[in-house]
Amino acid sequence: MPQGFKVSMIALLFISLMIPAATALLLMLFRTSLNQSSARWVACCGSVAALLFSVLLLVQYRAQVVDPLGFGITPVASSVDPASSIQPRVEYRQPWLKTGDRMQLEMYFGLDGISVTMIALTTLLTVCSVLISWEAIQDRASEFYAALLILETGLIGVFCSFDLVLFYVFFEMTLIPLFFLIAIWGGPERKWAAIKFFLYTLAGSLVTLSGLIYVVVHTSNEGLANPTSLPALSAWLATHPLPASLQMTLFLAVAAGFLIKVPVFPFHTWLPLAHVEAPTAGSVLLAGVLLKLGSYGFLRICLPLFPTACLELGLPIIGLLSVIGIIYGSLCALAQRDIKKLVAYSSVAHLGFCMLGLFALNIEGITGSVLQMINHGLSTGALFIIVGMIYERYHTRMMDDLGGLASKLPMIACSMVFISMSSIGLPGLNGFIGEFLSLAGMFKANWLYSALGTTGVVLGAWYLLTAVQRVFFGTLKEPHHAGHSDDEITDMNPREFLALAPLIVLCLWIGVRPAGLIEIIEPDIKAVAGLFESQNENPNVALLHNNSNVRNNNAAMSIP
Amino acid sequence: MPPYQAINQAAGLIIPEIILLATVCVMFLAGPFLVSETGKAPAGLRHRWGILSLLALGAAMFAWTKAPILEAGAGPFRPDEFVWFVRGVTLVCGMLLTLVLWDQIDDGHAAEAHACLLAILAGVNFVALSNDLVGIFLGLELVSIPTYILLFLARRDWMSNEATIKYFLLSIFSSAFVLYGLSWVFGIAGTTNLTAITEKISAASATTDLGMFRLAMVLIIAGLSFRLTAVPFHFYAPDVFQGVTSSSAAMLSFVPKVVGFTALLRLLPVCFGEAGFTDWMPVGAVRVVLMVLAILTMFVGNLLALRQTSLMRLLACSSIAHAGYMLVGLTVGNSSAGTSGVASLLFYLSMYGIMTIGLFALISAAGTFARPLRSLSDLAGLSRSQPAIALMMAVCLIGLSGLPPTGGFLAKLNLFLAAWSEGTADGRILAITLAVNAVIAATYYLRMISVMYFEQSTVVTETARQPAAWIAGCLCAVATLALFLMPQPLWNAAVHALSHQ
Repeated sequence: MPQGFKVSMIALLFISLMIPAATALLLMLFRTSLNQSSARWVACCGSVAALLFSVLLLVQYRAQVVDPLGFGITPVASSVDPASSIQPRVEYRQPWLKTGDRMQLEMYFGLDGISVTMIALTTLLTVCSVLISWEAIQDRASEFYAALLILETGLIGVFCSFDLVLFYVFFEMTLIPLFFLIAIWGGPERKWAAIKFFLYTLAGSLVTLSGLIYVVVHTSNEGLANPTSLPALSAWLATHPLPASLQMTLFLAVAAGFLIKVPVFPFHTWLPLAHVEAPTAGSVLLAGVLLKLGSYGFLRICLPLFPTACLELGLPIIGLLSVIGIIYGSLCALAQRDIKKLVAYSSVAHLGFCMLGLFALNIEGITGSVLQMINHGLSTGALFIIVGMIYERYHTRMMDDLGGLASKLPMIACSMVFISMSSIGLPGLNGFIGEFLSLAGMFKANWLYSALGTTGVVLGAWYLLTAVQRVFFGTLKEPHHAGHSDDEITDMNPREFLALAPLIVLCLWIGVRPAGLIEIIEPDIKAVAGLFESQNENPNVALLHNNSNVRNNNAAMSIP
Repeated sequence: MPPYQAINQAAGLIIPEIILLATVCVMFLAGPFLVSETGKAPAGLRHRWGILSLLALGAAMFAWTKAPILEAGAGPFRPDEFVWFVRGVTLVCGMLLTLVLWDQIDDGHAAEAHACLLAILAGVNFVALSNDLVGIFLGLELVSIPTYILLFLARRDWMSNEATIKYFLLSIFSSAFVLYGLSWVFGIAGTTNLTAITEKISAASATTDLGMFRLAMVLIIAGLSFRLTAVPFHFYAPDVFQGVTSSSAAMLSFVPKVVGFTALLRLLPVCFGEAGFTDWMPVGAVRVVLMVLAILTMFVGNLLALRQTSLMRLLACSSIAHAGYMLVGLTVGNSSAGTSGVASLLFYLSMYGIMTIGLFALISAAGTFARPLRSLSDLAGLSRSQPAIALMMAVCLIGLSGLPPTGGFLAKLNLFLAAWSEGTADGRILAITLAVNAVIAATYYLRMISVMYFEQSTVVTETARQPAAWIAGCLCAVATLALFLMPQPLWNAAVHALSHQ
């Protein structure tokens, strides 16, 4: 691997990480001299630049790391232990703070297929968020966009951190901007929603932190030199597994923060409130990316570090809760009158699929889960954007007040139908592939959960189609809002089209050709899944064997 | 060795302090001649004294880099690695405090105020340097007495008077505690020389029960807790902070903590019969006392801060809470397993100094001499009237709350790791208490940030340029961020400070 390209990939990563931060700093420093219109242009330029660089990163990653000629994927970064189930292909390591012989924090940034796609998703949804806030945010626009861009920085940072402390730093960094986004620009109940969101997630992540610290201190005492480095830690734990009972305790502690973040039933109660009160941009990023930090955390930390606990507790606890979440979330969505709340509850259900796939602990399931993360980001992000458009026009989200809008807003209606289909999981669109793989993976592990989970697809079709039918079809019913005569209501304008179009295109593209995406994420998923498929044999030997297989074998996964 | 030779030799060890104290003498002597009998001074006189003070600190800093690092002996001073660290902290923070003081004092009293500040800094160094119980006590008093004058000089209204008197009385009270404790040590050991005491104790501990030392140590800890503002010796802090100027509050929030921890770190290992810090950790009753102090201080400080509406009272409470975090490091001690608690304490102390002095500097810079910022609502709209100050203040506040991306996060993380990796149940309790308190503290720091950024100002505030304080605040904010990215040198310095055998 030529040295030059490594540098440039990392440089691209840093540029995409720094652009939002720098733009936010600019917006904060010149907030007095920027009015609403200039602030949004600055934010737009910043977020579009970050998107361009991250897409460039994705393209280059695909071209360089995922070898198109089939000679096998490029080996992992040189400093990574081959036994590790986390294998950044490109990395940047800088000693950060060494406070003992066996306690060394590192600025460990890295990239693998999963992180590179999640970063691209983040930057894309941020651009959409900026575009959708164009008119909606009149008050303190500069601060609003700064908070949005700081949130973006934190999210990108989480996805490229391979040091536990660094991961936690970025994980926490996302809390504060979203807290302000909800607390200041939110709906009538915003203060309470923001506080509930903040306290729930902070309490959870502190439990996570104590679990992580326990692992770090434990392995450091056992003799691991750099226990906060994720690849090193996972390689070490593969050869020196923790006792099963300790693993389970730590798994539950570390999972606490992620379970709340996902959120898995019954820790989801903060989510509908936060979504309903958040401004549209906040909802888009919250549903699109922030919730994925939870499942990403499971994938990156819980699975590699506590494999035995995942096998022991994953299905009986997390799997069960996910199934309950799917059914319960769907039923709740069915009962909603507020269309935004409906989408929020649908998130609970959709992330249930994601968790179900993840804890199937096989390649199909985890692949489905990662796809579901991306798909849910695209389609739910788009749903929130459409809900935001309707709210901007009619100042209501109550389905009882609306009806037959298709005649008035044909393009919005058309996109809504399309996105609903994608969200339901219509074959040919993106939702199908994620849900199918998750459920197929789960079927291998536990057919009952899979069968029960499938009802979520049916229920999903029920509530989304009902909503579409009530809001967009039937007789025209518009709320008579003071100051809004009928001729003011117009269909999608070019700006809104720009916000929505890329999401729709991607939904279609992933649905038609998922292999393009899967080949990027597949090697990394195999590395994690290898941890579990060899568990039943002699774990350590089999693990090494399996991993070396993974790295030499580039046989494309068969796509159903 | 003839006496003059011994004095000469000893004087060679304290050149930075001699420079500071010589400047103090010059200022006290020359100051009154430049002010008329009615107390009128030529405008801008304070700039000259400020520059002289900075020059003295610069010269002391130069002497610090050249100062020898020696083993402890029978002499009055022991300039070891720990002294090297304490000197560095006091001189750097002394420069920042001088900048904060610059425009907070009128021209007529600038000479005395700057002189007092320099004397305080020299006193801190003497506490670290002394190889003798008497020397440590004299150093402590060299910090206390100029502090009374400094508090009184800067502003003279009834609030300031009350604050000064309160501080004066309680400080004397606490000095008596320390003196009583030191006299117990002297009574048991029969000497005041620290090296000799150490030798006697380490020789005796095998056979004798040194129960009396426990009493002595508890008395010393109690007396010094006043300076640390550890609960239950904290109650003066909110009143005093509220009464004095922000420059004095900056000094009070940091320097007494440095001197308190320096004295504790000098005296406690000696009382355990240890010459250096290697593998030193408090045990038995002393550990219990320190642990209780730490937990109480963290909780009381943070819970008190939650309900404050006065800016200075809130910061006083936050200063109490930070003393609690640092006490965690002291309780854990310098055990070889895992992260060193004392090194974490020194790291935290330096980090805290930078953040708190920066915050007070920015508060001074945002207000005016006639109308300083006093209540939380005075912060409202600051982000509109003075965006740069608000942004830097936010950096310092985020640092104090221990959130990334600031050095404050790493400082708290180190303390947490030190407490947790110690491996005992006590250590875990301390670590968890620390984490819980960090969350409680985050609420009021975030409240301050949200007042600055999200509330409209109710009054029109006039602003006066205070470039010196602005520069100090800017340096501190930059350092807070820089130490997140490059914390290793500071950590190495803290470890080096403890490397003395």
